[in-house]
Amino acid sequence: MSEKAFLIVDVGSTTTKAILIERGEDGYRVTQRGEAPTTVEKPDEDVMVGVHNAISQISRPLETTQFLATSSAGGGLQVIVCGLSKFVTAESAEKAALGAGALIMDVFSPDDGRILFEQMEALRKAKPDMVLLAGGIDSAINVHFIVEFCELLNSARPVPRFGEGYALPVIYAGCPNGRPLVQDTLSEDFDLHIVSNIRPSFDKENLEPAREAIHDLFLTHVMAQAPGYPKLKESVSQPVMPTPLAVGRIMTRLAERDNLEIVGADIGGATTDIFSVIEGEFNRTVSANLGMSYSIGNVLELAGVENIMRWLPFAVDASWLKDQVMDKLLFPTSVPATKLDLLIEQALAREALRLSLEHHVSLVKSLNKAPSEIQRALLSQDAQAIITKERQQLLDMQRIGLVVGSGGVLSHAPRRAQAAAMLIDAFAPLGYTFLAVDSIFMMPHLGVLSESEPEIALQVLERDCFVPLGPCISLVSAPSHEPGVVAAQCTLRTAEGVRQAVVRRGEVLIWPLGRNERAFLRVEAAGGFDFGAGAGHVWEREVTGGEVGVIIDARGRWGEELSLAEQQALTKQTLLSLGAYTLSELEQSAKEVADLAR
Amino acid sequence: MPVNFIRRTRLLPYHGTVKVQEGDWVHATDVVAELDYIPGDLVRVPAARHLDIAPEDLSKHMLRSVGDKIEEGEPLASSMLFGEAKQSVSPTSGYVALVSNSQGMVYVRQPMPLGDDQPVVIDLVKEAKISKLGLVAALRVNPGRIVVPGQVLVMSPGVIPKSVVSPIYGRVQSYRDGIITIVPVRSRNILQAYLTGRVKRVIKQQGVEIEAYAHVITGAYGVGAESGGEILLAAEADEELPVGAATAEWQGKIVVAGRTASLDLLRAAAAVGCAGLVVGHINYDTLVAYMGSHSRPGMTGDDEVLMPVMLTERFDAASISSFVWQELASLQGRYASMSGKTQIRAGLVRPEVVVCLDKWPQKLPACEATSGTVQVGDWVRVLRRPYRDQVGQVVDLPPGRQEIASGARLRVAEVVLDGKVVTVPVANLLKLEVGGRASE
Repeated sequence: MSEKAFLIVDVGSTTTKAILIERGEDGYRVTQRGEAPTTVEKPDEDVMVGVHNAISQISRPLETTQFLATSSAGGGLQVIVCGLSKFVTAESAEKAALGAGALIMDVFSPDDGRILFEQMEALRKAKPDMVLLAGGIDSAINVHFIVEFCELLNSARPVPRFGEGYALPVIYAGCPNGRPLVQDTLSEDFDLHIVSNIRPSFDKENLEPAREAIHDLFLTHVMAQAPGYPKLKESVSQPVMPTPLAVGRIMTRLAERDNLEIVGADIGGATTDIFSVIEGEFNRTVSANLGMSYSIGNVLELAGVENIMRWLPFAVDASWLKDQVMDKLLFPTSVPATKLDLLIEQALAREALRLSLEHHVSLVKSLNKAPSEIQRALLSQDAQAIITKERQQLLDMQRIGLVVGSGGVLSHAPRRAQAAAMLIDAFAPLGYTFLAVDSIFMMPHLGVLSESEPEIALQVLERDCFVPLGPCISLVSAPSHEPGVVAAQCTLRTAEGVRQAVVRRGEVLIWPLGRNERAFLRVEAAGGFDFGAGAGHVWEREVTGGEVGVIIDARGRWGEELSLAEQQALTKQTLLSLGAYTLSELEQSAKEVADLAR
Repeated sequence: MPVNFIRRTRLLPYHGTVKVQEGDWVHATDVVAELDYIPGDLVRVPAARHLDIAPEDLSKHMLRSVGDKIEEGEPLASSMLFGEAKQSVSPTSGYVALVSNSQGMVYVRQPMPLGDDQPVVIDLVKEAKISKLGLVAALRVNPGRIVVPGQVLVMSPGVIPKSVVSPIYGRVQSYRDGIITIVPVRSRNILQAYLTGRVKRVIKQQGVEIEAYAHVITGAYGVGAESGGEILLAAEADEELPVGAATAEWQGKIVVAGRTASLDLLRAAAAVGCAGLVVGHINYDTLVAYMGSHSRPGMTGDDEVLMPVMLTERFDAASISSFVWQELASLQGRYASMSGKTQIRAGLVRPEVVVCLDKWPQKLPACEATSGTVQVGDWVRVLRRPYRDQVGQVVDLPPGRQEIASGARLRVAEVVLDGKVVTVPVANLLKLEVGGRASE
């Protein structure tokens, strides 16, 4: 293990965060940290000002440290994607760009439902950092749309976000017979890079070459244009990494080491990122319209007010609630200062997370089946794409061993039980899942560190980054019983003794079990109830505690069948059981709503 | 009342002709730039196929260049093969937009007509002779989509299918019970100055930068595009007007209509030709109903509403605050420019009412750059409960983070409100300039 110290900064959209990792008696730990506003925009227009301000809060001779950085400043890496088919090549291109840490500005394909005029207008208004073109499987003959798209690019001349005088990078990752045409068509105003086909066949993806090209161009072109970045590039001891890519690296390493499948969420002000590692494969989606400040109005629009109301433990007027949400949008960086406003904010967070996970699930799917020889011989490529488009969802919540939440509303929830409640309600885990939150969004720092020092990065991840909330054992399926029916007999054996309780359908049971404390948990499911071991079977294993404790959730996913009032009563009961709020706090908030409505 | 020095960049949506020069004095309503035409739909012309030539040879056979105007039926390109002359004619009038040697294609861009502002309403059941149930499967466009003239809206099934097409460039605003409403894309071919002041810079073919001294009243949220007219105070700051208050007197005026406006009043005001409406708050549901469709919350200005609206405070109940009211009252009768455009994201844009000085003062007011960071001694307005809307002075900024009523630990300020010192999260304070104006 290296004896070095590591100074790592993440230059975020609004805040630049620095951490110092040093070796102590018990191994590597985060010993100091500092943060300052990011200075990529006016009046400073030099990212290094914010970096220096954040680092200046750390008192250590910095010459002896290794300096690393990640960045998502200026809205991160913004990419336009184009493919021949919405559900084949365009989707692969989207996945490649997302996996490289990009924010997708638009996805173009002949079947995207837009007429040429609308596509042209969208291109003209876009200000991307780069364009990723995917076009047809290897055997594709018709590349007409890709060529036409290049012509549209020539005509629309989308202006790069940074630097008016530089050529917009375009990556072509399409079929080989399209390469000369793309080369001929794109004018000299574009910086064309050709890489291997992203989708050589219906049933095969090859995302890595495109991802690498995106990453290289991000470093050499995009960052070079952003104010102050050339200096940052010179200062670091290994390449600056896009923030989401760094998060992916550390999560993948953790999943590999512990043989886990993981789901993570970073709920920001404007966007929500969902990460997963499934069968060793890292997946990332960005819900660009879901967030807790600038996008809070979209959460309302997309979720619908009734879905937000169900997470409040009392009745509210729908129109009044809409006005409260929209008022938060007017001053997006303001914070809830009362319990009532906190309850509303956390209700919105549940829906933002739920919708973001839905988006993630919809994209993380198996590839199309390969067409049969007869289909290949008889059908056109378009027809083959249609008949092979049936695909399976890859994310199965019952196989997810760890759910990690990040972002202010989760990491800075006044009580950890509130964060646990949001994660359980939004992600609806099944069977056994360990819950954790990222204390100060340190995953990017540890991701870039893991490139050179994976063991140190994982050590710090567990000790200083993750705040363990505890294990959650959730009902997988249940017979159609009414609430109140016994669902399981639960036993927890700890060093101090044995606890036993009955959990009924609709209830959430919680037992305290502190961080790093171990216990043996046994859940004897009643007939027809399944907690992960099969209907009526016993689920048991050793579990490790967390700041909230051991959670046994026997609510099941039947909320949709309940009336709004019943759902709100269930929410109230859950918040109280988990210790997220006290009864007097909920009653006071309910009274406040009634008073305000008057 | 405070006067601000402001500078605005005014750009055409496409390249056109700038009509003014650097140093010119312009009035807010003056045309400073003009489009030759508003680009509409692109029409593909397979010219190489028409001429029976290789696609890569197309350029050599072109009779028109990119940017040239062309009428329907006029030749775009020609060839002579074995003594036989061939032509590729334009199927539409427009401008040559692209010549593709890869595809052998010419793209002709149709000009968008400067049409009516009125929405087009089509009864698809009647026109397509199809049941409401059948329409669900036959409909080809959804609300929010842009359509061009001739684009199929619905195609009925059957041996002889019947289609209904869009008569205009527009956006599908709504589809209910077989009735589709299309709102015209409101493109204008002229760009007005918006400010009365001096042309600081001409941006070739694109627009200008204009400087002015002005009273600027910034709102919290708005909808609708730019407008202008004399300011008319039609109500007290906390008064709610009935629908009958919107009369011919409101035509062409920026009307300050008090505490709020009902949907009926908004529609009545638009109907009498009111140039813009300013109120304290409007319930979100009411504003969405006025807009007719859901634009993305927090991103307005491109909405196809006839009359811009500005909320000075918020959505939840609130009267126009006293300092905003006093400023508007002092400007009654003056010409104002107004914009409902709101973009709540990085690079914040708020709606505004701007009254420019017709003559610049002899002694120009200093333009001090104010820091947005709250300091001890600053006057602030509290944005969130429990002290929402109260105005006071910051007396201390304790170091570190402190626990507040929600249980969160945050940076806080101690603020004197009504003679009492209270603790408020710094994030919930809006710094006010002397005189009570918000500073963002």
